[in-house]
Amino acid sequence: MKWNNKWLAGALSLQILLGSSIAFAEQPAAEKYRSIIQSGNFYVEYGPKGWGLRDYVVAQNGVRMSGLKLEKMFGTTGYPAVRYENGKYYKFVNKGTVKRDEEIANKEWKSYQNYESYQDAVVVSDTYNNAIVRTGGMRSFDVGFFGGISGGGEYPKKTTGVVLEESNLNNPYLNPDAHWEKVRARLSLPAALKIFAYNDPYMGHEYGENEPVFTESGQVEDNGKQRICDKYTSVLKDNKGNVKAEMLYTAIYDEKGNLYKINKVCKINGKVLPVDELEIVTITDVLPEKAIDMPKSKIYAADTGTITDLLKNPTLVEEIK
Amino acid sequence: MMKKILMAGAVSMLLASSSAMAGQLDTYKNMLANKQCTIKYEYIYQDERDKFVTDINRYVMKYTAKSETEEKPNFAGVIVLSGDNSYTERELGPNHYCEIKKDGYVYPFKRFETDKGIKYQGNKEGQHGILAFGAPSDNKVEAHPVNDLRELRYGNEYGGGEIATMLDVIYKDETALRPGKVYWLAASGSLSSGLTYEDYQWAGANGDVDLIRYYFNQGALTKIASVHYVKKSDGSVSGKHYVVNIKEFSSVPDENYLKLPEALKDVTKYDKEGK
Repeated sequence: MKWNNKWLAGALSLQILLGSSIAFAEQPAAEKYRSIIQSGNFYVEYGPKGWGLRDYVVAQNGVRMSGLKLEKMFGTTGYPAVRYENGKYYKFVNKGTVKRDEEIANKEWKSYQNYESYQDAVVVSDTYNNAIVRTGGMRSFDVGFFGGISGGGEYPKKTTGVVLEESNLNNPYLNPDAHWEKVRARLSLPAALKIFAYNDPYMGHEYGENEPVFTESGQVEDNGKQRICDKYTSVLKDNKGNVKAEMLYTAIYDEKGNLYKINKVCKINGKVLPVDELEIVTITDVLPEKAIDMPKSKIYAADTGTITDLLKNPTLVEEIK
Repeated sequence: MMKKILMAGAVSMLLASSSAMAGQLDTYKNMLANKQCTIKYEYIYQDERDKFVTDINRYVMKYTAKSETEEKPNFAGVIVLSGDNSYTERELGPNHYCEIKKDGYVYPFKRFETDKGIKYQGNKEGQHGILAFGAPSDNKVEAHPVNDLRELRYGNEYGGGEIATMLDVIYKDETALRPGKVYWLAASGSLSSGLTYEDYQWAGANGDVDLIRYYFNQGALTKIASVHYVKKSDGSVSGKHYVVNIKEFSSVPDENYLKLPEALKDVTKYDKEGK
């Protein structure tokens, strides 16, 4: 009889375990996203929906590109910003990149005007990974005085590019204003996508960070609607192995089972600090038409302090028509 | 046998003398470890050609006075630590950028000298608004909670930049996740001027070197000088050089600095739990 009881209890607990694992498993789409990103052929678009700038990262056959999508009243235009292909990095200047620089400058200008504390810089946006992420998840419609009036109508009409060999990345004579050291970070996926792409070669990692681990599924209210969500936890450990803080990711899915938002907060000293809120537009392995193509542009050699650079007469490397 | 004893004696004497010389920073180490001190310093930036211009400055510079951002000026500063509360100040021209950290909140404000005396300006938004025709709300401060995540990542960077590094060598905040540079005592001795010194060094993997020298006048820290050499991939070396004069470094925190000036109104919306 005793044995019977034990067996029964075992069977029951096994059933509970199985049941719970079904009820609280990761969304099926999560594994799909993971394999899409891992395959190296993907198109990821993120940023606020609606009019304005969004970011995208596209990769295919070892070529990787990131850029901006500008959605206007009539249609959306893509503006490539950075590209890696065959051991060469490309940087482009066009309306999209200039607009993004303006967004960042306006934000900095505003915080300078309001004399924000040095402490503000980190909580507002997760700047660690990527300069683009700064405004990737949040858009302010408050266009500053300078950006709105003086900045208007000064956008370049055509895309131009500069190219640099990968081996030249540490060249001491590179123009420091070009910030070639940031070029890899600008090809990375947004930091919140670490739940699927932690080991992506371009992904940056912060001190003591560990890979996010799936903890549970649940329901969360977003914009007044009940949504299904997956929760992930990534711990920050010091060099003695003590857990100092937890990064909590909440991946929120819509009714069709597609990911549309990732919230990232930091749990530290009993407080919860918001870190990032990322709107995902699409993660797909079907690349939009011409998304990976080299933009029509004139491409010049990067400024490495040669005599032609000093004369402001850079060498034309190629012209893509 | 005699030789061996002599050798041992010489070695032990050497060790003893070097440790006696090297202990001079310990007083200051304790002050920083206990977080009880008042530091007043003057920062002298030696490399005039090193431009103090960021990307953003460059963009904004079109519209603002260029000279302000052109060169990193010398400045004076104050650091007061009293437990978890602190006060930091940097003087840039007529402006003193101040920050009080108290009971888990940070109060940033600006103090500046005018013809009519000392004035204060808080961080409250809207003060500079171009369309703000009404009375400017200059004298309001809205504190924000201490950014624990930032402190976990980078530690307490009192004074910021070079000052923070120099204090870090005296006492390293081990709680920060950023590993930071590890300096070691490289040399110590006395100078013909009567001052004694301690040299701390750091060496990077690719040939970068930092050296920081602490000068003491009869055991009191009076000056810190540092050089930073970066070795570039083509073998050339570029360097930076800073000097900090220590006007005061005492173990008594000046509590007056930790009070919000009366001219400033605290408009913080605190949590229900209170401060």
